Amino acid sequence: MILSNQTVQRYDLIQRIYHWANLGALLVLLWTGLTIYDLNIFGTRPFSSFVTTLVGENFMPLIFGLHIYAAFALLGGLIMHIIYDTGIKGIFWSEIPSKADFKAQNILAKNFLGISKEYVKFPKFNIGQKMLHIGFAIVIVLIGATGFMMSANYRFLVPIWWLPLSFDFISFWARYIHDMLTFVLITMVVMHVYFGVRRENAPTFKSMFSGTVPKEYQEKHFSSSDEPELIPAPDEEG
Amino acid sequence: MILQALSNVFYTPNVWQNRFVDEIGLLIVTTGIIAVTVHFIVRHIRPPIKESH
Repeated sequence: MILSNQTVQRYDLIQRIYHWANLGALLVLLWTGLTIYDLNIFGTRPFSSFVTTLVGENFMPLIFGLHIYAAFALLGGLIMHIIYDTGIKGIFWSEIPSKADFKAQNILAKNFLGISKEYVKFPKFNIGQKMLHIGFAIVIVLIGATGFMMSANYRFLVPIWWLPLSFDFISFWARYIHDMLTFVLITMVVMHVYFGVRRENAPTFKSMFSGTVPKEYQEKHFSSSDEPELIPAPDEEG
Repeated sequence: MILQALSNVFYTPNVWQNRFVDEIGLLIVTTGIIAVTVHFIVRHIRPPIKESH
């Protein structure tokens, strides 16, 4: 959408609220999760020590409560996001990597490795962003499911009682997968933040607050169609 | 049942779990940090899009 003052809309208000609500929920989940896990760094337990000084020894009910509420905010947000962006805005296939995306990613990789000077303009998101997006969805759903499986109150949300698995086995592996995928999620967030705050991406970073990017920036860095667009090597241009 | 057998084999509630999660977790996060550091160094040497574009 082109606005009058030479800017192009990239994210609407609901998408921006969803993005920052996710960040808030993830920060609460990370803090309370590391407190429940009782992270031990060389014999010090910074998270449980910190919360003990705040609310005293009996901090677990509060921390568990916050963890569960933030989890519902994150998973509820995910459901709202799917309803809004696919159901209302009709966005779906453009967010799934296409064959052309994979070809374009090879060009990008060759440029990165210094093999080729060709470059490529992607549509709104490049294939790495699309795959990270899908990865976030899968990891968050699995962390959510294993989290519910560990909770006596919310176990009913993941109905696997009919499987011939012992209760101890399920709680052991639920915790294990929950913890492992948390580290995967942290890594994905680190990569997302790194690419988000890089200087050449500053206008798109700002657009997550304002919703818009300058028209000139949009035309220079993004494909004008739904498919990636090749930028020839500078030498070949003459 | 196969699942029941798996349940017996893979359920070992002992102390290695926390340490193992810590170590593998640290490895996953470190791999990610190394990946973005390599990207940062390479892109610092060779910026992605020339101004002429």
